[in-house]
Amino acid sequence: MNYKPKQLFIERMSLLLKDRQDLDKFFETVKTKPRKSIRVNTLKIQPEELIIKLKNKGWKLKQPCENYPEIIQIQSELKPGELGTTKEHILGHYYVQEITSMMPIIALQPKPNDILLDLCASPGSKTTQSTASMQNQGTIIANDVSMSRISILSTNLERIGATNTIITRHDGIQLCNKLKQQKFQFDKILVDAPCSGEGNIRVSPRTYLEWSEGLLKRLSNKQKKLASSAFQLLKPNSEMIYSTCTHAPEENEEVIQHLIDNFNIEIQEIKLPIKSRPGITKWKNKIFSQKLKKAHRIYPHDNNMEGFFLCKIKKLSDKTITKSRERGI
Amino acid sequence: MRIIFGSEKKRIIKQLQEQFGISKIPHLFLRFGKEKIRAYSGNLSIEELKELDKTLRIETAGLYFAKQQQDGIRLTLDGVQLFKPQITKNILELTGEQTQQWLKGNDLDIQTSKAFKILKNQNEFLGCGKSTGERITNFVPKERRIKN
Repeated sequence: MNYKPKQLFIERMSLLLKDRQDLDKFFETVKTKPRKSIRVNTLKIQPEELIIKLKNKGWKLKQPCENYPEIIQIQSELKPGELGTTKEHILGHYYVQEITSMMPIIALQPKPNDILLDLCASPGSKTTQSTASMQNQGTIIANDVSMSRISILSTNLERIGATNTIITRHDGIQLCNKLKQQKFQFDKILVDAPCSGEGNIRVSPRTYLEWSEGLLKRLSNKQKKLASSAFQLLKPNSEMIYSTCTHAPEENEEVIQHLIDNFNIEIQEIKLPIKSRPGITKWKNKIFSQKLKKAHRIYPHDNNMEGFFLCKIKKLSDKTITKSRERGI
Repeated sequence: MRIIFGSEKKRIIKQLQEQFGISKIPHLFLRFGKEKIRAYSGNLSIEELKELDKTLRIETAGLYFAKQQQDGIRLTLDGVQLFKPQITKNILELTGEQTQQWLKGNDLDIQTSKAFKILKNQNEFLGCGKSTGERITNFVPKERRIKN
């Protein structure tokens, strides 16, 4: 079935991508399928060893990100489902993951002794990436709300050989409240929030059908609550990544602005190995802090990948701000 | 979640040594259900784990690496992967064709002594099967098998 964007979606995208050629490129790109990519599971195998095995199958491979040899793009056309049914996949030597979705953990850089919360963890792409980054040390609390999603998360964690994870099943806000009561705090937190999925249209064009401004508003409210609840669990001077796979400012900059207005935070610079654009500081009649320029927007046509948003936030102290402070504009 | 301590952990390791030659397991052992044993390598203390278990709905922790059965301990596919550098006993070398059949979830017609066997092809460890003497029973999880 051929899904088409709603007029309102086109209008909103034209506000984000003001240059006509840029906008046309976006809509041309989202009609096409992205290249498949994988991340080498360095807990089990080194990139050069896996590359030899996969090349022996006749696959053409590319390592598109300098300094990240574990990121591999498949240049050949594979049979449907082939990536998920090789011996190497069964043995957990690699994880099929879109490259933009690897960016939050590249930005967060979890270390071996960290205690990390992955609040919306399923299917486990970023949890498994964190486990590798932490060399199966430290602890990850990987949470999701539904049993079916937990089951997928659990299978993926087993396959990659994760031994440092604890899987919990709670509504994200409820989990944060329970942990807060226990005074449990984290060195790193990832809130990869449930979102409208505008960045995933290339693989899920059905998103166009379900999309509405009402949905964005509802999600934005939920995301603000998730991000605020999680943020309170950070140790002072520790960092959280907030990310989505959508372009809607209500689900991105507006959520970060909500944190700026309520907590003592600093937005941190991050360097990504793919092209990204700064976060925006104005959307319709809303003005956001200039600090939002340090957030990253990734559009599908920037890298011929999927779309994404991420922002790294450092907690300066446990102090909360009762009144919205003046924005740095 | 139940933490496996002292003599019970020692008994499990002794059995793993007798069956497969595995003797060094620094992980904390956790039991979920009656038979499943999981290995946790994280840095939370036992007290912290117990406290979390009281407050949160913990579905699993660590890696499911072994199942305690009446006739011995069966390592999972991921348990074999985790401890492969230590495995020295009950190894069965498969051909390329047998490897394909095994990863498709099929039992293998191989005559060997009755025991849990670690299946291997060249450098790859492919999991654990149970030899009946005439046949190796397949335990590759359904969702991990190569589809026909």
